[in-house]
Amino acid sequence: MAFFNHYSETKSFDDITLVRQCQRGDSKAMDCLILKYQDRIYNTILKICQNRDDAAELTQDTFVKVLESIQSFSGRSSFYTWLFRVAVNLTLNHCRKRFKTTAVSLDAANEHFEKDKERLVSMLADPNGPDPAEIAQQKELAQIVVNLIGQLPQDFRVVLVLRDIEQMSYAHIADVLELEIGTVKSRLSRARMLLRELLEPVLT
Amino acid sequence: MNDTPKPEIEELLSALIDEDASERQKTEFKRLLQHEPALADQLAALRHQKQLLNALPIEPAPESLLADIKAAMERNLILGDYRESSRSVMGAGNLLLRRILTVAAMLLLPLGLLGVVVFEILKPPAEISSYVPAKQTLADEHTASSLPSVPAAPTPPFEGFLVFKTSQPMAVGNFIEKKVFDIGLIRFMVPNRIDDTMTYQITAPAEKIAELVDALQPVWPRCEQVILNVYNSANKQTIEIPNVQPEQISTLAREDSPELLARLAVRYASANLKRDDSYAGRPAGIENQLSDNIYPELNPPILTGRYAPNQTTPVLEQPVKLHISVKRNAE
Repeated sequence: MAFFNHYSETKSFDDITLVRQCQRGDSKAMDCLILKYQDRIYNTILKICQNRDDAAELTQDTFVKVLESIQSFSGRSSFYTWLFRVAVNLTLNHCRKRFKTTAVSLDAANEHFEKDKERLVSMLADPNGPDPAEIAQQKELAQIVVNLIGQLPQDFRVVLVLRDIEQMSYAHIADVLELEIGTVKSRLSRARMLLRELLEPVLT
Repeated sequence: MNDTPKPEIEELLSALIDEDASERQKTEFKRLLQHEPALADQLAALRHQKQLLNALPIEPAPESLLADIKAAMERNLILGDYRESSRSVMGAGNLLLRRILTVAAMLLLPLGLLGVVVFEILKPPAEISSYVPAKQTLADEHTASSLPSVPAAPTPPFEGFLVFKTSQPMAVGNFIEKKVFDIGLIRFMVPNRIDDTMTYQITAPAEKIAELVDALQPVWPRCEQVILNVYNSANKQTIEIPNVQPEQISTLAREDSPELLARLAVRYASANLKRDDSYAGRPAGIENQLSDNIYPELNPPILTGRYAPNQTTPVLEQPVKLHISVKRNAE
């Protein structure tokens, strides 16, 4: 187990090598891939679906699906892109189902959101505006920001998470979402503006 | 002033904070800034926002995630989820096929029932059955009064009930069966046996019946009594011919006119009653001593050309019926 005792150690292996080893049945390589990407996948899913239990389950499903079909991976796109594509698709499907089943509780969610917003405004009452890094490092405030992200329409939310949190390039986002780059840029700009409207009372 | 920028300005600001703007876009932004200074604040706010999102802390995945993933994969492997998922396609195909068959069955079943109903309505009327319980039929076969009063339609020109009464019923029965087989009438024969009576119902062309009767000549000496009941379709009665001879049966079988058949039968019956020297009951082996012409020749007018001795016998298309019974002679 010393082979991948630390997360940073796994980063020293390039994806294609690990994938080839996985395809030959190397379980250690499979563990390396999981450890390498589990936090990023989990966080991305969490920001999109806004629920820790769901995010954990969807992260597990993502890796199971990818690793069970690793033999079919031909390398046309990067493993990283493929993994995120599976994760995002599973998450979006899950969110659509959840939206259908929880539509009746939207009012309650909105009420909760308004309370979060007011709380954030009161906490950031400094007229010069707080330092974003400081806000982000405060767990409660960060959670409020994440909650605000959760209020964005799903298509905009996904692009925003992949770009501004996961810091993917436009090209990668386009690959993951199987969209044109122009569509990605358009959605991203709209998502940023919508989030700004939500955060404006806090950040100005 | 409207705080919400136009989509193209949104994209321009977005490109600027991503440092993805082209020189032309940067020039355009500077130009816009001169007319709308508030865009600088919007750009700053968006940069602020991006920094905030970039700085959001990374939450570690659950510690058990690796173990959970491996457990799930192992579970899938054991439970055959792979095969299950591949089978689901086949299952969907089978389900589709079953649904199609179900729909087809639902459509065909009422159609089939409807067809039966229509057939029952439109089919031609069934022939009047002369069915009489077999035992009763066999028991009454030798009596004229109890013969079927309503024969099956169409009535065959000749329908006779030949009864051999013998003390050797098994030997006679076996001989008849052998001859029926030899002549090729086995497929026209319906045999039956009740108690001591063997019956053979044969429906065949008259020539074949005549051939059979001719072949049965050796039976006569082994019988104490040979009786032929001829069904008369004109008055629906039978005419009993005692001590009937093979040639007489052949002649009657070939006759296709019911009136002439009846007259001929009456004549044979009358003639046979007057004679007591028929060779039925005589010891076997002496039959060849009997003369063929001991029975009266029929007058040609009676036969009206249908049959005359030494002439080629016309072949009748319509089959005739001969019921042969072999009974143990109780006397």
